[in-house]
Amino acid sequence: MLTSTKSGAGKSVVAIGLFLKMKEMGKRMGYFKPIGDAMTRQEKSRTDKDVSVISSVVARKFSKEEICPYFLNPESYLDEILPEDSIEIQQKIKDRFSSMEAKSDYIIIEGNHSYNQYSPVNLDDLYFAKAFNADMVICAPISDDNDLNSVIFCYKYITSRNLNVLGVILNARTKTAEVRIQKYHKKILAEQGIRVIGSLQNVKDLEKPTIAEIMDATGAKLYSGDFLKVKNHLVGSFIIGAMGADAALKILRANIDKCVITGGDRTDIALAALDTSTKVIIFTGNMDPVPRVVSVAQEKEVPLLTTNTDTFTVAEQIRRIKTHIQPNEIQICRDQVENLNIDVIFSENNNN
Amino acid sequence: MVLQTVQSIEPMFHPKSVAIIGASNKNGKIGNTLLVNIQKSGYEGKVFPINTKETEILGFPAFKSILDVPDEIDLGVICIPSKFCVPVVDECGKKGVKTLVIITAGFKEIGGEGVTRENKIRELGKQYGMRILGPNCLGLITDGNFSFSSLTPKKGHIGMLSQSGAMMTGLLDWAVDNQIGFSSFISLGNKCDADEVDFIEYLAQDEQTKVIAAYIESVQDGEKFFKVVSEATKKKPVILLKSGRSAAGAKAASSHTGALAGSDIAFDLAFKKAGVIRAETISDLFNYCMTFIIAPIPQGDKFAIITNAGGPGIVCTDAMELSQLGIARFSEDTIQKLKEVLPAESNFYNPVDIIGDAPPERYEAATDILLQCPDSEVAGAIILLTPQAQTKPLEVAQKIASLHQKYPTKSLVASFIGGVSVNEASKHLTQGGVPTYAFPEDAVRVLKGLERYKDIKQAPPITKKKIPKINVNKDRVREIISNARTDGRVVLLSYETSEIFDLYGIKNPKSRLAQTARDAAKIAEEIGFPVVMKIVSPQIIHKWDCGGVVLNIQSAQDAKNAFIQIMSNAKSKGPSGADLRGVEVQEMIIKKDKKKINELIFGVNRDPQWGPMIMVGSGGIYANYVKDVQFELTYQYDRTDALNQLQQTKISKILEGVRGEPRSDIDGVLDILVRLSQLVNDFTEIIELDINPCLVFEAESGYSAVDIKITIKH
Repeated sequence: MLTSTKSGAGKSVVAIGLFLKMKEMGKRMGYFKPIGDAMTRQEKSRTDKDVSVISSVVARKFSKEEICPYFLNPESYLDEILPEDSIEIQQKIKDRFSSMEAKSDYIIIEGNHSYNQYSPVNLDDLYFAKAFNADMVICAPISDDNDLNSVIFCYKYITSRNLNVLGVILNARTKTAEVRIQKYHKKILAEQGIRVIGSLQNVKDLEKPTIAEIMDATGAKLYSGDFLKVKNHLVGSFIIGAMGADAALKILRANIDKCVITGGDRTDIALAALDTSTKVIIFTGNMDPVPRVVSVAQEKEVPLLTTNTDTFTVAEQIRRIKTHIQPNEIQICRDQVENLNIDVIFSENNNN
Repeated sequence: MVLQTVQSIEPMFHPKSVAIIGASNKNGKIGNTLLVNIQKSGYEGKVFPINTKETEILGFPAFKSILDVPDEIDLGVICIPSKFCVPVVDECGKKGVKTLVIITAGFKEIGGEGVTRENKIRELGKQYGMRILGPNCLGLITDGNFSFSSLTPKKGHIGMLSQSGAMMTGLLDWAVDNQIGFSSFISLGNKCDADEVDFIEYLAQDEQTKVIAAYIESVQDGEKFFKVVSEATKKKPVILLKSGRSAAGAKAASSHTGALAGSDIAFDLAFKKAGVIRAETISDLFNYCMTFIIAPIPQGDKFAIITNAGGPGIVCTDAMELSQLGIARFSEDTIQKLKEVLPAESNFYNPVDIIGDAPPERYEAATDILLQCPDSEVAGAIILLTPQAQTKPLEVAQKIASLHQKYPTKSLVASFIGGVSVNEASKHLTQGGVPTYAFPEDAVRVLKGLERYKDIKQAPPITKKKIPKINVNKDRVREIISNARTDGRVVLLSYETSEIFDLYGIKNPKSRLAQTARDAAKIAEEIGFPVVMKIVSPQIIHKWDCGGVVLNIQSAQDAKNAFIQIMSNAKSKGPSGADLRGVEVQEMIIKKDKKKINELIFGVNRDPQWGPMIMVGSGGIYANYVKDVQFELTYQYDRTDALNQLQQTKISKILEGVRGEPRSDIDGVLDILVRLSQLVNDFTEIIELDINPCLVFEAESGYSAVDIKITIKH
């Protein structure tokens, strides 16, 4: 089971990568996610975004329901389930797991957003690890030294509950974090008897939202452009165009593949943005762009979005976007597991 | 290569046979006007009208298709609707038509399908080896009038190109009125194949053409222009009128260099480099043409002014000073001779004022004396006349024209200021070989053009220059650029620019990236105290604003503390989610140890047509306000160019040493310029580069490029 100290640890990346790697080695692989995220559940696919990609691209032999039997809303799950109701849910999930177990050599179980999530209702990762007799791997995002505290605490807590932790996978969120992992963290973890299975490399594309995700998060409507053509384009950075055009140009030039958020009346900013590497422009405040901007945008195939809300709100909405793996990023996940010592995970001596 | 271009477009100039595809019997149709023009212009070759319905047009037997014509065809002129052009061009190719003029509009200029059509005809032209003029042009006037212009100018010696068809009709109308003749007149249109450079190359070897003139809005290929035009200008003057703006350069100006460059400077520099004389206005263009055709190139660089009124003499002197045209200083002997023939009230020094009542004989006597002077004293003269009561303009004109015959190697120009009283005299003078202008400033400008052409002819060909190169580990530079690209960055980080400069031997403060506080302390010790420490993050542009810079760090412990402080400031005050790469530890320049420090700015901006343009001048925080900078294109750029460029800045005098200060490291400055030139020519990925400031010290202490910014192509 892949568990994590907090969200954004790269569990899905590791799960997909391991699944593919083991499949290449001739193993019958299963992927199981006991509880999906109801907040990212899509109407069309009836499952959450990660499961949707995994079931349609990676683990195609299993249905979405087999992969992820139950959904909870992380912020208000007590409205849906109270501790006394959990036995029924636990049983449903265990039944589904058993059915997959029969068809697989190995099952990769992707835990909740963090190791302690849903513990009040006994649906946390530790409960399922015990229930499925699974070994655990801790995935941890590392931005700075603060994150090392959580890794050590998490390890100690899980092992104190008599569960087997194979080791930790560290996900460096920045280049400086990569340096700190190599220079300090690995050594300290080894001294504490914690095995480091490997560290994921900072791959920017996996953190970039798509234009479709931005539209989803902000509710912005497409004003011009071809949605089908651009929906999966990745956006590398965000610029609020609220300054003078001259000052903006410096920043616009320094950022590539960006999303520019500005008022519909800021033709100067929009044209300057279109003259640099821009993936999408969002016009706020219910103001449509002028025809000249639309014509240049069409020529450069840059979509224009409009929204009724103000620039600050759009920026906040974007800040809250949690990126998900896109179908075309599967190979990146596969490449990432080359940085891991997978023999540790799939050893004959393990529970699996 | 040269011969290939000339041979391939030769049939447009001297076609033995012409086919008009779209010829018509209907008056008012372009196909009809074309045929009428060909007839009227006295074209002696064979003419084949092509029309699917007619059997005869204006007396010529017509053919349904070009493929039906029994003879070979040198020139095909197409004037059918654009949607039919592609198959017709294909037929022309199959027929073996040697050259084509496509008059029809509706191609690149309308976008969309027009672009596709134009690309297709360009491909067909290449496939069949058939050179194409146009599309979307007025045609051309060579051995015949193969255009739909309403007028045919007289034969002459100006080879004229125009990128605007409307401009061509206007110019033709004006030229006919002013009796100006052309060896050929070409409307360039969209330049899908043959462009201005191809035609300049042809006209350079054309014996009928003495001067090449052009109205252009853009240049297709800067390097080809340099190679061909710099050779052409050695044979005959090339005068260009360029309109429009190089928008790409100005619009996206994010750097100091871009902002200081302005919009049109690259064209100015390119024309200068290629030896082109740039006309500022349409009348300038023709003034130059007329002058170059009839006036000799000056044998010296100093000129006399002879005037019958003080005012115009002063205006003329001012104009000469402004344009840096040499004002002759007469020898004692010359002054004595003038005193012998002129009234005592005259001015015997330059400008020679022969006073208001001057009769023709006085003009003749004074001019004769001055033209007798050796070329080193007086290479030519500007004759000024204002029509006063006693003035006889026509007789003065006759006397001056005779003197031109007597001194044919002296550059003689005139300005008879006035209207009805001087018109006839002005015409007589021009016809007599003395170019005459309405106002003295025009006369000065063209004389300056003549003088400049003398230098252009004498200068060694730019293409033959050998540019020395330093050995550089280019693979490492390539790797740095490639890493930045992989990282999704277009602006290189400071330690990357520092390494590139080290590789190119451009001195800059020692600088290394620290990723932990312990590293920072170690690096600072290795560099030597004091050091400066700065945050390194692609998203943080204004490092000071977020507390990302600490100066004057004196110990390892301070360096450690500074690292922690800078990283923490950047996290709390920098852009949210900024990617912090660490802290740069940089050697700190101790100013008090230097005898002299000047702040210079260097920069490179890549012009879309002309390539890299290098800048040098007064730097520092006021660089954009002081605007003491000079630009030069890096094409065939060497140390001599660098020195010329630097000498044109105001700060160059200060670098040489003023008020008892020592001389600065000028050699170092020149070194930076030639090395930067090599860097940006080696790596076309670099689109902008700024150094501001570069601290230049006294000669023995060198310089240090302190703040460097390199932007690469996305």
